[in-house]
Amino acid sequence: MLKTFLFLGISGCGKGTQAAFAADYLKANSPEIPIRRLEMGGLFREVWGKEGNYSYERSKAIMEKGLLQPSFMQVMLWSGFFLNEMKGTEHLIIDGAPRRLLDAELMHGAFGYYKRENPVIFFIDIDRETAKKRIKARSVEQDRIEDSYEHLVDQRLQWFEEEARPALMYFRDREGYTFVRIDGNGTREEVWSQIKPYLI
Amino acid sequence: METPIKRAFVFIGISGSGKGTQISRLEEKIKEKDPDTNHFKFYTGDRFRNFVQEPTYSAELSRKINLEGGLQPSFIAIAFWSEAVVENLKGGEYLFFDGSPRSLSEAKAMDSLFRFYGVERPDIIVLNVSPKEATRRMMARGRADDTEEAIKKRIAWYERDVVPAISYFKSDPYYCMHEIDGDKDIDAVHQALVISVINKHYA
Repeated sequence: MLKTFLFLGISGCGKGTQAAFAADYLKANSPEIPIRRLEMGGLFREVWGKEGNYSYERSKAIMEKGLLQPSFMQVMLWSGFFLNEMKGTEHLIIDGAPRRLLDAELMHGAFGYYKRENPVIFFIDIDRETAKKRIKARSVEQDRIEDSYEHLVDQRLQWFEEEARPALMYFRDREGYTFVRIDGNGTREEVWSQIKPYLI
Repeated sequence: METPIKRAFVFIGISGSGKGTQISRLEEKIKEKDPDTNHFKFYTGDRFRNFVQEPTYSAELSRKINLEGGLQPSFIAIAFWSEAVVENLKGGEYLFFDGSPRSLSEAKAMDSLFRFYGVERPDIIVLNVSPKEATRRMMARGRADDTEEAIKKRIAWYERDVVPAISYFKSDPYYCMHEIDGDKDIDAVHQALVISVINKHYA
Protein backbone atom coordinates (compact mmCIF):
# COMPACT_ATOMS: atom_id res chain seq x y z
CA MET A 1 0.00 0.00 0.00
CA LEU A 2 1.14 3.52 -0.75
CA LYS A 3 2.10 5.36 2.44
CA THR A 4 1.65 8.99 3.32
CA PHE A 5 3.63 10.38 6.25
CA LEU A 6 3.70 13.91 7.61
CA PHE A 7 6.37 15.06 10.03
CA LEU A 8 5.44 18.16 11.98
CA GLY A 9 6.80 20.05 14.94
CA ILE A 10 8.62 23.23 15.89
CA SER A 11 11.95 24.21 14.33
CA GLY A 12 14.68 21.99 15.70
CA CYS A 13 12.38 19.08 16.54
CA GLY A 14 14.19 16.83 14.09
CA LYS A 15 11.39 16.39 11.56
CA GLY A 16 13.74 16.57 8.58
CA THR A 17 16.06 13.96 10.07
CA GLN A 18 13.20 11.60 10.87
CA ALA A 19 11.64 12.11 7.43
CA ALA A 20 14.98 11.10 5.90
CA PHE A 21 15.10 7.99 8.10
CA ALA A 22 11.58 7.12 6.98
CA ALA A 23 12.57 7.53 3.33
CA ASP A 24 15.59 5.24 3.78
CA TYR A 25 13.48 2.69 5.56
CA LEU A 26 10.80 2.61 2.86
CA LYS A 27 13.45 2.45 0.14
CA ALA A 28 14.96 -0.62 1.78
CA ASN A 29 11.65 -2.35 2.44
CA SER A 30 9.69 -1.56 -0.70
CA PRO A 31 12.35 -0.80 -3.32
CA GLU A 32 9.82 -1.15 -6.15
CA ILE A 33 7.79 1.85 -4.94
CA PRO A 34 9.23 5.30 -5.64
CA ILE A 35 9.33 7.90 -2.88
CA ARG A 36 8.50 11.57 -3.17
CA ARG A 37 9.69 13.89 -0.42
CA LEU A 38 8.24 17.31 0.13
CA GLU A 39 10.36 19.53 2.37
CA MET A 40 8.62 22.80 3.01
CA GLY A 41 11.68 24.53 4.47
CA GLY A 42 13.74 23.48 1.47
CA LEU A 43 11.14 24.82 -0.97
CA PHE A 44 11.21 28.21 0.73
CA ARG A 45 15.01 28.33 0.87
CA GLU A 46 15.06 27.56 -2.84
CA VAL A 47 12.80 30.47 -3.79
CA TRP A 48 14.59 32.87 -1.43
CA GLY A 49 17.73 32.09 -3.42
CA LYS A 50 16.13 33.31 -6.66
CA GLU A 51 17.16 36.83 -7.45
CA GLY A 52 15.14 39.44 -9.24
CA ASN A 53 11.69 38.08 -8.44
CA TYR A 54 9.53 40.76 -6.83
CA SER A 55 7.45 38.28 -4.81
CA TYR A 56 10.25 36.06 -3.58
CA GLU A 57 12.20 39.10 -2.48
CA ARG A 58 9.20 40.21 -0.45
CA SER A 59 8.95 36.72 1.00
CA LYS A 60 12.60 36.79 1.97
CA ALA A 61 12.21 40.19 3.61
CA ILE A 62 9.35 38.75 5.66
CA MET A 63 11.54 35.89 6.81
CA GLU A 64 14.30 38.30 7.76
CA LYS A 65 11.87 40.24 9.90
CA GLY A 66 10.78 37.00 11.52
CA LEU A 67 7.23 37.29 10.18
CA LEU A 68 5.08 34.41 8.99
CA GLN A 69 4.94 33.57 5.30
CA PRO A 70 1.55 34.22 3.67
CA SER A 71 -0.80 31.26 3.28
CA PHE A 72 -1.07 31.55 -0.48
CA MET A 73 2.68 31.12 -0.97
CA GLN A 74 2.84 28.11 1.32
CA VAL A 75 -0.06 26.51 -0.52
CA MET A 76 1.46 27.43 -3.87
CA LEU A 77 4.74 25.71 -3.03
CA TRP A 78 3.31 22.41 -1.85
CA SER A 79 0.59 22.41 -4.50
CA GLY A 80 3.15 22.95 -7.22
CA PHE A 81 5.04 19.96 -5.86
CA PHE A 82 1.89 17.82 -5.87
CA LEU A 83 0.81 18.86 -9.35
CA ASN A 84 4.22 18.19 -10.84
CA GLU A 85 5.49 15.21 -8.88
CA MET A 86 2.54 12.98 -8.11
CA LYS A 87 2.04 9.95 -10.35
CA GLY A 88 -0.28 7.96 -8.12
CA THR A 89 2.30 5.22 -7.61
CA GLU A 90 4.51 6.62 -4.86
CA HIS A 91 5.02 6.82 -1.13
CA LEU A 92 4.75 10.40 0.03
CA ILE A 93 6.78 11.93 2.85
CA ILE A 94 6.12 15.53 3.86
CA ASP A 95 7.87 17.60 6.45
CA GLY A 96 7.13 21.12 7.59
CA ALA A 97 3.68 21.47 6.01
CA PRO A 98 0.92 22.30 6.69
CA ARG A 99 1.75 25.22 8.92
CA ARG A 100 -1.68 26.69 9.51
CA LEU A 101 -5.29 25.66 9.76
CA LEU A 102 -6.19 26.92 6.29
CA ASP A 103 -3.18 25.10 4.92
CA ALA A 104 -4.32 21.88 6.65
CA GLU A 105 -7.86 22.15 5.28
CA LEU A 106 -6.53 22.61 1.77
CA MET A 107 -4.08 19.74 2.10
CA HIS A 108 -6.94 17.56 3.30
CA GLY A 109 -8.62 18.43 -0.01
CA ALA A 110 -5.45 17.44 -1.85
CA PHE A 111 -5.26 14.10 -0.04
CA GLY A 112 -8.84 13.40 -1.11
CA TYR A 113 -8.07 14.39 -4.69
CA TYR A 114 -5.01 12.08 -4.86
CA LYS A 115 -6.87 9.38 -2.90
CA ARG A 116 -4.14 9.10 -0.28
CA GLU A 117 -5.43 6.62 2.26
CA ASN A 118 -4.90 7.01 5.96
CA PRO A 119 -2.08 9.55 6.14
CA VAL A 120 -0.04 9.28 9.35
CA ILE A 121 0.83 12.52 11.14
CA PHE A 122 3.89 12.42 13.39
CA PHE A 123 3.87 15.35 15.75
CA ILE A 124 7.39 15.48 17.13
CA ASP A 125 7.04 17.28 20.41
CA ILE A 126 10.13 18.78 22.08
CA ASP A 127 10.92 21.28 24.82
CA ARG A 128 11.56 24.83 23.73
CA GLU A 129 14.96 24.96 25.35
CA THR A 130 16.08 21.82 23.53
CA ALA A 131 14.76 23.28 20.29
CA LYS A 132 16.71 26.49 20.78
CA LYS A 133 19.94 24.64 21.50
CA ARG A 134 19.55 22.53 18.36
CA ILE A 135 18.72 25.49 16.16
CA LYS A 136 21.78 27.31 17.41
CA ALA A 137 23.99 24.31 16.71
CA ARG A 138 22.70 23.72 13.18
CA SER A 139 22.84 27.37 12.16
CA VAL A 140 26.60 26.89 12.30
CA GLU A 141 26.71 23.39 10.77
CA GLN A 142 24.24 23.88 7.96
CA ASP A 143 23.57 26.72 5.64
CA ARG A 144 20.09 27.60 6.85
CA ILE A 145 19.47 31.25 6.33
CA GLU A 146 16.42 31.44 8.59
CA ASP A 147 18.34 29.96 11.54
CA SER A 148 21.00 32.63 11.45
CA TYR A 149 18.56 35.20 12.82
CA GLU A 150 18.88 34.11 16.40
CA HIS A 151 16.72 36.81 17.94
CA LEU A 152 13.80 35.57 15.88
CA VAL A 153 13.86 31.99 17.06
CA ASP A 154 11.59 32.67 20.03
CA GLN A 155 9.11 34.31 17.73
CA ARG A 156 9.07 31.29 15.41
CA LEU A 157 8.51 28.98 18.33
CA GLN A 158 5.66 31.17 19.52
CA TRP A 159 4.00 31.07 16.11
CA PHE A 160 4.09 27.37 16.09
CA GLU A 161 1.84 27.44 19.12
CA GLU A 162 -0.52 29.97 17.60
CA GLU A 163 -0.68 28.94 13.96
CA ALA A 164 0.64 25.42 13.47
CA ARG A 165 -0.95 23.79 16.49
CA PRO A 166 -4.50 24.31 15.13
CA ALA A 167 -3.36 22.55 11.94
CA LEU A 168 -2.17 19.59 14.01
CA MET A 169 -5.44 19.47 15.94
CA TYR A 170 -7.33 19.48 12.65
CA PHE A 171 -5.75 16.16 11.69
CA ARG A 172 -5.92 14.74 15.19
CA ASP A 173 -9.68 15.23 15.31
CA ARG A 174 -10.45 14.05 11.80
CA GLU A 175 -11.40 10.58 10.68
CA GLY A 176 -9.16 8.94 8.11
CA TYR A 177 -5.90 10.09 9.71
CA THR A 178 -3.59 8.49 12.23
CA PHE A 179 -2.18 11.06 14.61
CA VAL A 180 0.86 10.12 16.68
CA ARG A 181 2.59 12.28 19.24
CA ILE A 182 6.29 11.46 19.46
CA ASP A 183 8.58 12.52 22.29
CA GLY A 184 11.34 14.23 20.35
CA ASN A 185 13.66 15.17 23.19
CA GLY A 186 15.92 12.10 23.00
CA THR A 187 18.61 11.15 20.51
CA ARG A 188 17.63 10.71 16.88
CA GLU A 189 17.80 6.94 17.32
CA GLU A 190 15.49 7.08 20.33
CA VAL A 191 13.03 9.18 18.39
CA TRP A 192 13.22 6.92 15.36
CA SER A 193 12.46 3.86 17.49
CA GLN A 194 9.08 5.43 18.33
CA ILE A 195 8.32 6.18 14.69
CA LYS A 196 9.48 3.00 13.00
CA PRO A 197 6.64 0.72 14.21
CA TYR A 198 4.16 2.89 12.24
CA LEU A 199 6.00 2.41 8.98
CA ILE A 200 5.57 -1.32 8.79
CA MET B 1 12.18 51.70 -4.07
CA GLU B 2 9.17 49.55 -4.36
CA THR B 3 6.00 50.45 -6.15
CA PRO B 4 2.76 49.40 -4.49
CA ILE B 5 0.06 47.54 -6.40
CA LYS B 6 -2.30 50.21 -7.75
CA ARG B 7 -5.55 48.37 -7.26
CA ALA B 8 -7.01 44.90 -7.27
CA PHE B 9 -10.40 43.95 -8.74
CA VAL B 10 -11.97 40.61 -7.98
CA PHE B 11 -14.91 39.72 -10.21
CA ILE B 12 -17.35 37.22 -8.79
CA GLY B 13 -20.48 35.94 -10.48
CA ILE B 14 -22.00 32.81 -11.90
CA SER B 15 -21.11 31.74 -15.44
CA GLY B 16 -23.04 33.96 -17.77
CA SER B 17 -22.90 36.93 -15.41
CA GLY B 18 -20.64 38.80 -17.82
CA LYS B 19 -17.46 38.92 -15.76
CA GLY B 20 -15.11 38.70 -18.72
CA THR B 21 -16.92 41.41 -20.68
CA GLN B 22 -17.08 43.72 -17.69
CA ILE B 23 -13.39 43.28 -16.93
CA SER B 24 -12.54 44.29 -20.51
CA ARG B 25 -14.75 47.35 -20.25
CA LEU B 26 -13.27 48.38 -16.93
CA GLU B 27 -9.77 47.89 -18.29
CA GLU B 28 -10.50 50.18 -21.23
CA LYS B 29 -11.83 52.80 -18.86
CA ILE B 30 -8.72 52.59 -16.67
CA LYS B 31 -6.43 52.74 -19.71
CA GLU B 32 -8.03 56.02 -20.77
CA LYS B 33 -7.10 57.63 -17.48
CA ASP B 34 -3.86 55.81 -16.78
CA PRO B 35 -2.41 54.41 -20.01
CA ASP B 36 1.07 53.59 -18.74
CA THR B 37 0.29 51.22 -15.89
CA ASN B 38 0.44 47.49 -16.53
CA HIS B 39 -2.54 45.22 -16.01
CA PHE B 40 -2.31 41.72 -14.62
CA LYS B 41 -5.31 39.52 -15.42
CA PHE B 42 -6.07 36.02 -14.35
CA TYR B 43 -8.91 33.84 -15.63
CA THR B 44 -9.23 30.77 -13.45
CA GLY B 45 -11.56 29.02 -15.91
CA ASP B 46 -9.10 29.37 -18.80
CA ARG B 47 -6.26 28.06 -16.69
CA PHE B 48 -8.28 24.98 -15.74
CA ARG B 49 -9.22 24.39 -19.38
CA ASN B 50 -5.52 24.41 -20.32
CA PHE B 51 -4.56 22.32 -17.34
CA VAL B 52 -6.84 19.39 -18.18
CA GLN B 53 -5.12 19.10 -21.59
CA GLU B 54 -1.76 18.42 -19.95
CA PRO B 55 -0.34 14.89 -20.00
CA THR B 56 0.03 14.57 -16.23
CA TYR B 57 -1.52 12.37 -13.59
CA SER B 58 -3.08 15.39 -11.88
CA ALA B 59 -4.65 16.58 -15.13
CA GLU B 60 -6.08 13.11 -15.62
CA LEU B 61 -7.69 13.27 -12.18
CA SER B 62 -9.18 16.66 -12.98
CA ARG B 63 -10.49 15.47 -16.35
CA LYS B 64 -12.32 12.73 -14.51
CA ILE B 65 -13.82 15.24 -12.08
CA ASN B 66 -15.02 17.31 -15.04
CA LEU B 67 -16.60 14.29 -16.72
CA GLU B 68 -18.42 13.39 -13.54
CA GLY B 69 -19.57 16.99 -13.13
CA GLY B 70 -17.70 17.35 -9.83
CA LEU B 71 -15.88 20.32 -8.34
CA GLN B 72 -12.15 20.88 -8.65
CA PRO B 73 -10.33 21.16 -5.31
CA SER B 74 -9.45 24.62 -4.01
CA PHE B 75 -5.73 23.95 -3.67
CA ILE B 76 -5.35 23.75 -7.45
CA ALA B 77 -7.08 27.04 -8.12
CA ILE B 78 -4.92 28.69 -5.44
CA ALA B 79 -1.77 27.21 -6.98
CA PHE B 80 -2.79 28.56 -10.39
CA TRP B 81 -3.39 32.19 -9.49
CA SER B 82 -0.54 32.24 -6.98
CA GLU B 83 1.96 31.02 -9.55
CA ALA B 84 0.73 33.48 -12.14
CA VAL B 85 0.99 36.38 -9.70
CA VAL B 86 4.39 35.34 -8.36
CA GLU B 87 5.81 34.81 -11.86
CA ASN B 88 4.52 38.02 -13.35
CA LEU B 89 4.14 40.77 -10.79
CA LYS B 90 6.74 43.52 -10.84
CA GLY B 91 4.95 45.95 -8.56
CA GLY B 92 2.73 48.88 -9.50
CA GLU B 93 0.11 47.00 -11.55
CA TYR B 94 -3.67 46.84 -11.62
CA LEU B 95 -4.83 43.32 -10.82
CA PHE B 96 -7.96 41.62 -12.19
CA PHE B 97 -9.25 38.23 -11.11
CA ASP B 98 -12.00 36.46 -13.00
CA GLY B 99 -13.51 33.28 -11.60
CA SER B 100 -11.74 33.16 -8.25
CA PRO B 101 -12.34 32.72 -5.41
CA ARG B 102 -14.82 29.88 -5.77
CA SER B 103 -14.80 28.78 -2.14
CA LEU B 104 -14.28 30.17 1.34
CA SER B 105 -10.80 28.68 1.66
CA GLU B 106 -9.81 30.16 -1.68
CA ALA B 107 -11.07 33.55 -0.46
CA LYS B 108 -8.92 33.26 2.67
CA ALA B 109 -5.85 32.39 0.61
CA MET B 110 -6.53 35.37 -1.66
CA ASP B 111 -6.83 37.58 1.40
CA SER B 112 -3.29 36.55 2.38
CA LEU B 113 -2.11 37.54 -1.09
CA PHE B 114 -3.58 41.05 -0.97
CA ARG B 115 -2.10 41.70 2.45
CA PHE B 116 1.28 40.31 1.41
CA TYR B 117 1.51 42.79 -1.47
CA GLY B 118 0.08 45.61 0.61
CA VAL B 119 -2.90 46.15 -1.69
CA GLU B 120 -5.09 48.92 -0.31
CA ARG B 121 -8.76 48.04 -0.07
CA PRO B 122 -9.21 45.45 -2.84
CA ASP B 123 -12.44 45.88 -4.83
CA ILE B 124 -14.78 42.90 -4.77
CA ILE B 125 -17.22 43.17 -7.64
CA VAL B 126 -20.19 40.83 -7.37
CA LEU B 127 -22.28 40.60 -10.53
CA ASN B 128 -25.66 39.41 -9.32
CA VAL B 129 -27.60 37.67 -12.03
CA SER B 130 -30.93 35.95 -11.45
CA PRO B 131 -30.96 32.19 -12.08
CA LYS B 132 -33.44 32.79 -14.91
CA GLU B 133 -31.23 35.30 -16.71
CA ALA B 134 -28.07 33.23 -16.09
CA THR B 135 -29.77 30.18 -17.60
CA ARG B 136 -30.96 32.17 -20.60
CA ARG B 137 -27.46 33.52 -21.30
CA MET B 138 -25.73 30.18 -20.87
CA MET B 139 -28.21 28.45 -23.18
CA ALA B 140 -27.75 31.22 -25.74
CA ARG B 141 -23.96 30.87 -25.97
CA GLY B 142 -24.39 27.22 -26.93
CA ARG B 143 -21.27 25.75 -25.31
CA ALA B 144 -21.18 21.95 -25.16
CA ASP B 145 -21.04 21.88 -21.37
CA ASP B 146 -24.06 24.19 -21.05
CA THR B 147 -26.81 21.61 -20.70
CA GLU B 148 -29.84 22.50 -18.64
CA GLU B 149 -28.87 20.05 -15.92
CA ALA B 150 -25.28 21.30 -15.77
CA ILE B 151 -26.50 24.88 -15.48
CA LYS B 152 -28.80 23.99 -12.58
CA LYS B 153 -25.89 22.33 -10.84
CA ARG B 154 -23.66 25.36 -11.36
CA ILE B 155 -26.27 27.65 -9.83
CA ALA B 156 -26.66 25.37 -6.79
CA TRP B 157 -22.89 25.15 -6.38
CA TYR B 158 -22.57 28.93 -6.57
CA GLU B 159 -25.07 29.32 -3.73
CA ARG B 160 -23.33 26.71 -1.60
CA ASP B 161 -19.62 27.50 -2.13
CA VAL B 162 -19.22 30.94 -3.65
CA VAL B 163 -21.72 32.87 -1.53
CA PRO B 164 -19.74 32.09 1.69
CA ALA B 165 -16.65 33.52 -0.02
CA ILE B 166 -18.58 36.72 -0.75
CA SER B 167 -19.79 36.88 2.86
CA TYR B 168 -16.21 36.54 4.04
CA PHE B 169 -15.15 39.64 2.10
CA LYS B 170 -18.29 41.49 3.14
CA SER B 171 -17.58 40.98 6.82
CA ASP B 172 -14.14 42.58 6.56
CA PRO B 173 -13.96 46.39 6.11
CA TYR B 174 -10.57 45.91 4.42
CA TYR B 175 -12.56 45.14 1.29
CA CYS B 176 -14.52 47.54 -0.85
CA MET B 177 -17.70 45.71 -1.93
CA HIS B 178 -19.62 46.45 -5.12
CA GLU B 179 -22.81 44.50 -5.60
CA ILE B 180 -24.04 45.16 -9.09
CA ASP B 181 -27.30 44.15 -10.74
CA GLY B 182 -25.98 42.01 -13.58
CA ASP B 183 -29.35 41.33 -15.22
CA LYS B 184 -29.14 44.64 -17.07
CA ASP B 185 -27.45 45.09 -20.44
CA ILE B 186 -23.67 45.39 -20.78
CA ASP B 187 -23.56 49.20 -20.90
CA ALA B 188 -25.83 49.65 -17.90
CA VAL B 189 -23.83 47.18 -15.84
CA HIS B 190 -20.58 48.88 -16.81
CA GLN B 191 -22.00 52.27 -15.90
CA ALA B 192 -23.20 51.06 -12.50
CA LEU B 193 -19.87 49.40 -11.84
CA VAL B 194 -17.80 52.46 -12.70
CA ILE B 195 -19.95 54.70 -10.54
CA SER B 196 -19.71 52.31 -7.61
CA VAL B 197 -15.96 51.89 -7.97
CA ILE B 198 -15.38 55.64 -8.11
CA ASN B 199 -17.85 56.59 -5.38
CA LYS B 200 -17.06 53.99 -2.80
CA HIS B 201 -13.35 54.09 -3.20
CA TYR B 202 -12.96 57.79 -2.83
CA ALA B 203 -15.80 58.33 -0.38
